[in-house]
Amino acid sequence: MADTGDKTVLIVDDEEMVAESYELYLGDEYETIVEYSGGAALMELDQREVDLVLVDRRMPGMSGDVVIDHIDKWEMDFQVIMVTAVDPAVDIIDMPCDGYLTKPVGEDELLAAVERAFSIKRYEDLIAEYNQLSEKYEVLTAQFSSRELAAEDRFTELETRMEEMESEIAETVESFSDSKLSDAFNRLH
Amino acid sequence: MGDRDRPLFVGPSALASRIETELDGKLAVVESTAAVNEQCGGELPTCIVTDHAPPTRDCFELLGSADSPVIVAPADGGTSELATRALRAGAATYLDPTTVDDGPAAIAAAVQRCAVGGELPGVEARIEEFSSIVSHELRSPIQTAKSGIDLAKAQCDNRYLDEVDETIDRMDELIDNLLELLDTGETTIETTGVDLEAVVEAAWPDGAAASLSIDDDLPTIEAERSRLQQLLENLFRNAVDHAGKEVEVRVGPLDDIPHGFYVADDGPGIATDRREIVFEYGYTGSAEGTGLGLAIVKEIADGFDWDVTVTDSETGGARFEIYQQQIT
Repeated sequence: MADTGDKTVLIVDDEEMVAESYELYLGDEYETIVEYSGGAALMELDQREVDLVLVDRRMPGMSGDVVIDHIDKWEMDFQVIMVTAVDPAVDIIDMPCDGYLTKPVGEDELLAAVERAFSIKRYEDLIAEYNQLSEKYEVLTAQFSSRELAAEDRFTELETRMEEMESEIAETVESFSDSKLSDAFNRLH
Repeated sequence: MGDRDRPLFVGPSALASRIETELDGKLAVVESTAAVNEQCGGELPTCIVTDHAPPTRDCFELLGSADSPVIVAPADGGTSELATRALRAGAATYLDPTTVDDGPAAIAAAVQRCAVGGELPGVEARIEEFSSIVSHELRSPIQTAKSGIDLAKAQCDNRYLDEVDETIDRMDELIDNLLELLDTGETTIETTGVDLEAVVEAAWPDGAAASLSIDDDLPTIEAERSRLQQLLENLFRNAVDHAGKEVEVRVGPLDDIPHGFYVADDGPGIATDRREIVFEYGYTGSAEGTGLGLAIVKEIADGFDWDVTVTDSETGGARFEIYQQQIT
């Protein structure tokens, strides 16, 4: 499992007891911040860096939908998990969130969902970096002969890094606690 | 345009103007139930949309007297109790605008459905609305209770807390079952050829201590995938409830019936004299059961014109056989 100690989770739920229980479930693994309204959550996001937002969908005043719409428009780079008491409908397709949990949410389920969201983020970051390296690799191999490239230490380093990243990507996919998700990513390779 | 041609909105003007915009201005508006007759002047509006905030706006007064279809849309949010009462009192639609992304647009869409030939939303739409409300109104307090128990357990060790926790889990399962039942009650079933093995794998719970083995040559069967998955999930849950968390479950094709399959376990099995009643609502043979799981299995099977029967597995456990009803 990836090191989770430096990750911060913002919990947003208007029910104080519910928010506190999420804090209890996540507190051993992550740093947590709690807000009880959508507006307060957006103000918090404006001032602090977080890695994941766990937001209740239905809240008085600003709903969870509005909160994640703002997050999407502001192009903030963190994971979002929506929690709701209502079974998901087709509208979640357009919802800019990385996870969806149906209440009641217990400790194991919440920890698994947060861990999965971070694994997906890690996977996305690795793929983005790998694609960058891969582009450079393609350009260089088209421009120079393999003998010329073999003499370049930096090209050898590039090849080594790409091999390392391939292993990291495979390990990340394997680490998904949800075997169906793991299977889905494996099918992509 | 007379009022006969226009829908009538009874409620706060701010919401009315947003609905009116969605309807291109084709909306008559009054602020109270008492003003409805005065506004209509004997004309029948295509439908009446009403907020419910007594005494100014009482949807039940309208439901008892109006000749036009009535859409109940509580502007500040409703409850499952209000939904139930309104639908029972004859509301054509109950729509809580605070539970959807765009409340005015959803109300306008409901009005337009009424306007087109006066068609009302079907039973399925009403079940879906009702299910959504029930789901929210029951699961939210369950979450609050569960959160409170977990917070209390973090502060003190008390066996009563564990017992309450178990009770809450049971209530949660019961709600899931009830919602499944509402879903099963929908009338339209659209079937297609479904890869049974893929659905079995999807239905099997992730991280379960129980083990699953799937025989080769599972058939492709004619079914609606989501309901078939629900049927299998209930059978798997039943096996765990009755045979323990480490139960071994096997799914395979029936030898003598094409497109039939079985789900078997290595638990204690079901006594011969109980094999009919296990499918009855409320029957449960374990402390963990809700008495709905197998009833839902039967309900889904009936919807597909399938039979479901119980016999012994090779190890003496329960074996459920599911197959197309035989024409005699």
